[in-house]
Amino acid sequence: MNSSRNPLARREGLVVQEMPDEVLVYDTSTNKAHCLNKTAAFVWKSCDGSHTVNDIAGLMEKEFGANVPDDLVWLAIDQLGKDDLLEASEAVKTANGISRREVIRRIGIASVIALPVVASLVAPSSALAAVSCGCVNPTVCGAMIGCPSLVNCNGLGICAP
Amino acid sequence: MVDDDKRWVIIQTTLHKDHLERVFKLLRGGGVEPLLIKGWAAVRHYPEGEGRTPGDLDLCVSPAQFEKAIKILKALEISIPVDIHLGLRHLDTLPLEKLLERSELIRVGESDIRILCDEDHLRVMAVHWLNDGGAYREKLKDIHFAVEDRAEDFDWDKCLNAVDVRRRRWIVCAILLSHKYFGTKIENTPIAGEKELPRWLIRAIEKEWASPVRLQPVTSIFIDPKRLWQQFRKRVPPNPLQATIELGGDFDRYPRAIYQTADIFYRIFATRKRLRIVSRIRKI
Repeated sequence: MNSSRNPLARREGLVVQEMPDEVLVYDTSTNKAHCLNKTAAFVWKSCDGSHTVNDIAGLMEKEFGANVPDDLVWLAIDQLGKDDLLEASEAVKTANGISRREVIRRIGIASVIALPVVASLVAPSSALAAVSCGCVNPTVCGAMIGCPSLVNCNGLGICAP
Repeated sequence: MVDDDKRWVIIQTTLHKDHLERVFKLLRGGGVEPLLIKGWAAVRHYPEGEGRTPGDLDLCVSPAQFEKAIKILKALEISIPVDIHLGLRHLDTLPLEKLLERSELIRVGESDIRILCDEDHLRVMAVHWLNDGGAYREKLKDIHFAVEDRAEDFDWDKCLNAVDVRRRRWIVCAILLSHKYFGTKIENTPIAGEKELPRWLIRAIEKEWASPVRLQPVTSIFIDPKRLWQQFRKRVPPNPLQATIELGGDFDRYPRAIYQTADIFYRIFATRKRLRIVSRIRKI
């Protein structure tokens, strides 16, 4: 069943790299990179539009061999939604506002599953030197992190005002 | 567990490969055969965990296909940082047709990406690094890993003797610098028997590495008087490596003053030439 109430992971405009314990995601529309821990990655991958939050909790129980309350999935959905990694849906709207503290209180500190974490990655300074700032049109400047302008390709073919 | 810097490198490398596939597909679809230099072509020699961000896509196209390539790239709807080169210009003296003949295809995802053969690429990377004034210590590792990771049948004669003796000496010096600072193994290579590095070269790059200001295109900062002044001061006197390369000089033991003085005039002509190319790109 595919319902607009079920969470659906965004695929368009994302570059994904699977790692042994996490998933790295680069959003080409915002030029932001995110790191999803195992729990957040599992939830994200399970958001195929056919699974309800309760289904995903069930899938996680099977995968991790532990009791998984729906709140843990809601917390992941809330974070994924805030980072624009989910298509807008009822589920994302409903999740809005769940706090980590609340989830910890409900599931208890002794949970064997790590809480979902979606962390933003910041470009190291060494990476900034890797771009030459050369351009043929303004659209490429959006990806030239570290250049004087991210929106303008000037008359000399450089991403700068 | 990997740290954030490594995560950044990993995801940027994945992104770079995704961009490579898209751009090659697009250009080939338009009848243009690009040649990738640096970027992934260099990073693929790095051992796992030692990688660097591949940066933008440096693609070289033949003068006959240049306009077509620019038109295709201008129509791109997604932001892909592509630095398109009109031939290899000062980076090598072999005709582009010959370099293309010797080039190789490597598999990236589901596409075949054209790169220079290892021997030609090492030469191009060395000249590129020197022509950046030796400012980027971390990029000297491109040369280090290209030498360390070379195939058993790497042909030093094809690499070093395809160009004149002056250019050959530039390449040798870049490898000797990599040996000096990163311990590149040069035993059993023709580099081992070469003359020592000139003292001015070592002084110049160590000064560059210690400087908090790196060379930047002046055109990218002309509205910021403070940075513009910094760049002006940095260029007077001109970087000795850059000056020697630009004027096609020898990497011998003599002082660089003559090259540095002449380079001031050369730069005026070079800027005019660059402006002409940019104006041509804008008109396409």
